[in-house]
Amino acid sequence: MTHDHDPLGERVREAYHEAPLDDEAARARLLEKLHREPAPQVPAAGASNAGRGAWWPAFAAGALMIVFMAGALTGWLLARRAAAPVPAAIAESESGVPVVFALPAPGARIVALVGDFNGWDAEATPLHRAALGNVWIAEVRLARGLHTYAFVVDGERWIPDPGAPLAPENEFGTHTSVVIVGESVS
Amino acid sequence: MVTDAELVARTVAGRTEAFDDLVARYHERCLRFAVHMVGSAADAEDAVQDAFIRAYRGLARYREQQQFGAWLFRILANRCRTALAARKRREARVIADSAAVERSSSASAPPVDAGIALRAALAALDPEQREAFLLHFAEGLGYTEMAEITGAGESALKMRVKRARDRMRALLEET
Repeated sequence: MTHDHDPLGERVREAYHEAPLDDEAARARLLEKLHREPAPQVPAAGASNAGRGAWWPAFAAGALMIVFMAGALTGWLLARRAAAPVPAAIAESESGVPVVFALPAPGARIVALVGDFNGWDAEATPLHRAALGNVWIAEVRLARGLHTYAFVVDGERWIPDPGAPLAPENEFGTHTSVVIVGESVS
Repeated sequence: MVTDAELVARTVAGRTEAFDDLVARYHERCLRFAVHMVGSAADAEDAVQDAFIRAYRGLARYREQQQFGAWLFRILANRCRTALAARKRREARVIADSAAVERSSSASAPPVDAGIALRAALAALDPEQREAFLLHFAEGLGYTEMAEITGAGESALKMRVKRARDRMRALLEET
């Protein structure tokens, strides 16, 4: 193990290790999958096939094929959408789904979120500066479906989200980004 | 304490429950790395599942002179690269990160806030730089171990770390 002793490194390590994870649930899902796996192949001839799943190789092959085909179909469907490159959230309620927007903007004094959900009002949804430096964050509740949005930096610079795909150029010649609020895929 | 190599040997000998102990040892670390590498919790979980299952199926190819953790991380790093390549082919950003629900509900809490900021800044890095930056700074690995995991040379890794650090400093440090 090695650590460079600089303040940025310390802050990054702290944020990295303190970021909450849904580790327990994810581990349980992994173990469930692993327990359906046949025992790993041993290279020596006549190796034992004892262990989990050893009694159902033919069934497992068929089931795996079905799972693979279902997975491929699901993957194809999901590929038509995308997972968020930056943390985002979904927890539907009557007032919509909470979505977190984040923009690294070194040197910015104020940053606002504008979109079809707030009437493109640069004063409606200000972002706040994160504890870790120059990243600006806002959480808003959005209805399910497709939305277009952008960030306004220092009240005058209009920029799309660098972590999201662009929408077609609008009638004002400015670029916006696209977000689709959909159902959970987990 | 039972070593990783012993747990592998037990698994290969048919006592497959021993692999559960390896999952318990490494899962959180793998998931943390993958979340920061690929950005979305759902993609990260897929990459981690895939890495563990590939490791399990390929245990016969594991050699004791290797650290199990480094071997597993090499597989995981590859799965993360595959996930990022798949993301490139996708058409739009979808908010479907159910694991982030609890985080978002307390988004004003400093550690959560800092975590979101870190991930937003990491998303602005080139994937190779992000990988090197995370392995070096977040996981605290040395360049020899990083070379083993990534397959890249040490001098290339040093350059990636330097460039990533400069970029992260510009993105994260207060001005």
